[in-house]
Amino acid sequence: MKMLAIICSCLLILASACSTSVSGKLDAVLTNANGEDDGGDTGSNEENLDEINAGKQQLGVKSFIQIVETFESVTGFTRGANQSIRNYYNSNKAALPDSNSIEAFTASQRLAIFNLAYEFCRLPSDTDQIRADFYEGTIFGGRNDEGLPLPLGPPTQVLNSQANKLELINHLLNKFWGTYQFSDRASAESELTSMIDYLLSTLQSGETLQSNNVTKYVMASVCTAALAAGPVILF
Amino acid sequence: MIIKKKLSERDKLEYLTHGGRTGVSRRNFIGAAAAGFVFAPSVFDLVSRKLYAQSQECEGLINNGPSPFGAVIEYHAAGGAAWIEDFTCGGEGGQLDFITGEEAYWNYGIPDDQNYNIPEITPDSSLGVLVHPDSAFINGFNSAALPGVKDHMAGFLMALKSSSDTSQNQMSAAHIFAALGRNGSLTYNIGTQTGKASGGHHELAIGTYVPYASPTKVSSPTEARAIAGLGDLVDRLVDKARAEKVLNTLKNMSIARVAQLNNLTPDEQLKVLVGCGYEQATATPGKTNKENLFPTLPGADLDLINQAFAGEISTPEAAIAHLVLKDFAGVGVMSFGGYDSHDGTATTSYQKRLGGAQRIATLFNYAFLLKKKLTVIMLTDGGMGKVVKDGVLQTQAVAPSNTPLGGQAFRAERPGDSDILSCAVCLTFDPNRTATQMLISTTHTQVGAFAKSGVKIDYLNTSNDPSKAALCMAYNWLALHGKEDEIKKVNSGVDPFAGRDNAKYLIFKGSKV
Repeated sequence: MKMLAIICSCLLILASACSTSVSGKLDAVLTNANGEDDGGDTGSNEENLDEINAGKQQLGVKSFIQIVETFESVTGFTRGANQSIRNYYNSNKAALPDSNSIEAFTASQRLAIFNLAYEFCRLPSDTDQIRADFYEGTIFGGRNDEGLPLPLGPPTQVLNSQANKLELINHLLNKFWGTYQFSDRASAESELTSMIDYLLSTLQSGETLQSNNVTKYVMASVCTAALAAGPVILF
Repeated sequence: MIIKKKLSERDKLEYLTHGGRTGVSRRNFIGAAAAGFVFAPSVFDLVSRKLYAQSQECEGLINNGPSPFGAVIEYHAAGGAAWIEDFTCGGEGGQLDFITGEEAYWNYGIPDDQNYNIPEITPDSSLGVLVHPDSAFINGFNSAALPGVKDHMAGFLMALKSSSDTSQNQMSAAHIFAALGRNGSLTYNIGTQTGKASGGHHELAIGTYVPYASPTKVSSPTEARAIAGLGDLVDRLVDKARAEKVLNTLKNMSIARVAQLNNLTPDEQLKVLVGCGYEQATATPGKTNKENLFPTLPGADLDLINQAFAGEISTPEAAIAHLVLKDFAGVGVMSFGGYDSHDGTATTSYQKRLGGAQRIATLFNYAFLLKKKLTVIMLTDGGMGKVVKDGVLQTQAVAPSNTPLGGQAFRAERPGDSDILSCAVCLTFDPNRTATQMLISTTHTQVGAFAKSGVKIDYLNTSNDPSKAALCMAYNWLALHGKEDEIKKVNSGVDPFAGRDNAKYLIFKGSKV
């Protein structure tokens, strides 16, 4: 029994020594791996702490799952209820950002986000029942007394004034960006207005301002640009 | 036991708006951006300095044009490919310094009456690196290569100990090539595997992570076409300029958002890079379309792909090769598994390597048809062991012999893995040069040395250090362009192969054309 106790004591001492040794090696590895000290223990060093706080990185990009959940949250359309979104996401999620690292945020990932945003935005543009509710309270949505979707007007009717364009823009920005008046909100309104004007001035063969198909793709374009923009996907 | 906590609304909001982000110190951020301790001066810094020099405009990133360096593809053979059975493994004198004595190549899977020491066996040199004439690799390569491809190839074998059956081997040089300037017009790196910074089976060599080289997954033509496509919206808007207008709007709103963080983000470089990423995304659709990214319509482009890949065009190799050789992507990484068959036979391992050689040959076919340079780096984890009963190497017939021996080629049965019996291989193609014009010496095609027991791990530091091995691959790739000195850029300003052993690491030379 006494022998067993001695052996146990020895093992404890040995374990303690090993622990210290491993810890020391880990510190060394961390120091070497960065080529400099990694910041170390700053808790007791106010000056060091200030330096680190002053240098906080303030920008990140959402990961693929965060992006799709954000899109679901702000649009109300979920993968579970919408097969087209589910299929598109499942097929293309590998092209979306896989981490929050802004340094690793590539151009092709930005395009993948853009395409995913379009999958969400095509629903309220193309499906009258969804449009009626998504754009409720604007001239682009709503229902009649019988609960049927109000018809969507052509650009000559619903995109024929600055006020109408801003109604569309602000409805979407409020949904996606929130109602707070950020300083970049005004420039966004200006950008999106300019985009609408450009799309309406570059009609393609077979398109007219009397067609609500043009209204639909303008709505989808504004929605996509607003949804895939930095205020939604960066943090 | 896993306890799931129901998220509160506040938690959910925090998650949706702030993700998994944690505060990062400026020092650590710059450390990460500097791509690990190996890279000094920081590649990130260099890019940013270039941007600043251009008044913070994004010309450097967007109009980078084709890389001046030849294309690179890494081929990761997961499990443990017994390439040492295929490529001629020699001693300190190189591939022709055959291991001698009885049982000389048993560990390599080759019986005494079929190894390099008998007069009837002369290594095949048609690839510019020596292989056994009855090997799976040369048989596979020959069966798939177009006539003329091998006339412009060279290569070398690297003795490299690597752990078996693990993806943890840190030997991929994928980000090193990006850091050295092998960029694509759309993206830096692509890979067939998600969840790995290399884009393939193996981990990056230690300290070589470059954030902007994080790979985009491409393992099929469909994914190749999606890499920069605008999806259905561009089809709906009909005119590409209109789609770009929408993207431009997105870009301007996003950059405005980033600019708003000015007083919060101390690192101006970050802001510029983020902005330039949006610029690049906006410019991308105008530079290409889905049909360029991978053709599907009948025509000359599709004909070439069909010819190179023998009609097997819905494959990872076709997708990766097209994007890399067309300079849309800088570096491609592809993974294939099951190389350690563990079924105890010789034939399964042989057939697996034969199929891999066919795949690799098709990559070179495409380079040949496009008249583009291509370097393929072959990596694997560990190798395969052997079976000896009553002092006799257990073998099986694997294929008809190509040698004067006639009859059958026999190779060792493969029961399991071996760390010490492994190697890495570099093969390169230049449409304008032959092997003698690419090699410093046609008899110097091996880095490191092998002995009867396996890799001589104390001979060169590449033999037992995957990070050095990765650097050595990049070193020789640079040498093909006459720029081997630039290896310093990714090694803290120091040439890791300088000194009296330099010649042992340097295989390739630049073109004087």
